[in-house]
Amino acid sequence: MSQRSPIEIEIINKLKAADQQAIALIYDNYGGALFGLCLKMMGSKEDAEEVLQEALTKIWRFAQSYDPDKARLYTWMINITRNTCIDQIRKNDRRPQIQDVDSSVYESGASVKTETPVDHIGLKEELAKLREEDRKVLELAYFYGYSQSEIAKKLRLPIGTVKTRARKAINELKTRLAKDIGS
Amino acid sequence: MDPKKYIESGILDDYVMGFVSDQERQEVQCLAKIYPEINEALRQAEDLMATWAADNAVAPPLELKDKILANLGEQEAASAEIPFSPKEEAVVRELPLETDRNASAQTPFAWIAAAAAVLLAAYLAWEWQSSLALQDEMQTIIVQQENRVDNLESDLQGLELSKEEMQRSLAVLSDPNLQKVALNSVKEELSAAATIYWNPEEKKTYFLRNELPPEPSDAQYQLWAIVRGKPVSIGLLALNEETNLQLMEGIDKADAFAITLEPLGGSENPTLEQMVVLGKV
Repeated sequence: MSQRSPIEIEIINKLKAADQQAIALIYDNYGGALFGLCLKMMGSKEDAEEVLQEALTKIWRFAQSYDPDKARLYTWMINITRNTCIDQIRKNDRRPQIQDVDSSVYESGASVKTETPVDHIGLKEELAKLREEDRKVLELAYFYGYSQSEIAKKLRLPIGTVKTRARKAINELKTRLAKDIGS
Repeated sequence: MDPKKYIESGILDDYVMGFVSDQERQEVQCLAKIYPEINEALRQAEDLMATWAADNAVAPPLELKDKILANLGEQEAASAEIPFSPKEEAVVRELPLETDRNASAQTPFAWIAAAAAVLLAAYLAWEWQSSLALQDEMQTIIVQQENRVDNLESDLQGLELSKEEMQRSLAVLSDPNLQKVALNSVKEELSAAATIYWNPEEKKTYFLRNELPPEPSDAQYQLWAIVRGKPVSIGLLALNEETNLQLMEGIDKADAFAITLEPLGGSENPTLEQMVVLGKV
């Protein structure tokens, strides 16, 4: 189990105590990661801001259901944010065409990039080493909520290949990132 | 259930990607509660994906922070006034899968239900397997029974035929003018007997094989009528026939009947040293 940083413990305590200061701390410490994810998934700054606001509101509302023994705070927040994005994308029916994925995922918002508060510097370089075709499957599933069969249809691949590629990408991430996430 | 094998199957990766059916999703959640190793592996997989997902941090605008915090105050006020307002419910319904999962994890009932569902699924799978095995077994028994019925049917046909033959024999033997001639073994050490039923007026001769040693494969019994000291062939006996009455060539006069063992197809003259039975009229 990973060690919790003092700031993480402080945020959890404040969330449990229904102290709004928790959201302020989240914004200051994890806002960059969450907003980066929103930008990546939504494509536009306006949409990203709207979704970030909704995600933080949900984090606040459902703070009592967060179980620190079950998930890392960071992962829990990322998942809420990601799912809020997917809901919004579905609501707008604006899931990207397959050929748009790369540009929307990797180029949008790059100009407002700032330093990262979490410990995974150099990740982008690592990520770039992932095989393009494996990565694409992982992105479509994880960022856009496409089902296995939707991906198979869109990329004209057998369903089994979709799963194989995604697993390959995950295994690649595992070997490259294991040291960053701690276990 | 081997948690290590379960983890190695890669299903946890499929789970975090959303590549699982509803049933598999419940299974993963349930097993993660039962096995700490699976829970830990699942956490690691989720952490990994989260780390990867937010690899590109971008500072959000400062003014957004105040807007969100201000909005939180309103939310709090609103939910304090009418805790179960339709608005509240609507938000709950909109919750993404992941949050639902965290929320449901809090209620023991939900995971008891999930555990029950997994157990039920496992039980049904087992039940299905056993029913397949039972089906195979039943199929084997049915085939055996069918073979038995077939055998009984052919047995019955055989009996029907025997019955008809017996009836024919009985009809033949009920002729009042029929003479019965018993043929007995001519060699003391040999147990052999046969019967001739003979109607000289109608020139009809029937042979009944009571007890004759089985013929060698290259030999056949031949029936002779002895007329004034001379043997006259009145036919070859059917090979290995035991009970049936056999119609032989007719003859109107005979002093005795005898049977010799001859080469297949019979001989013109009897091989006397191969005489088996003899009976005087």
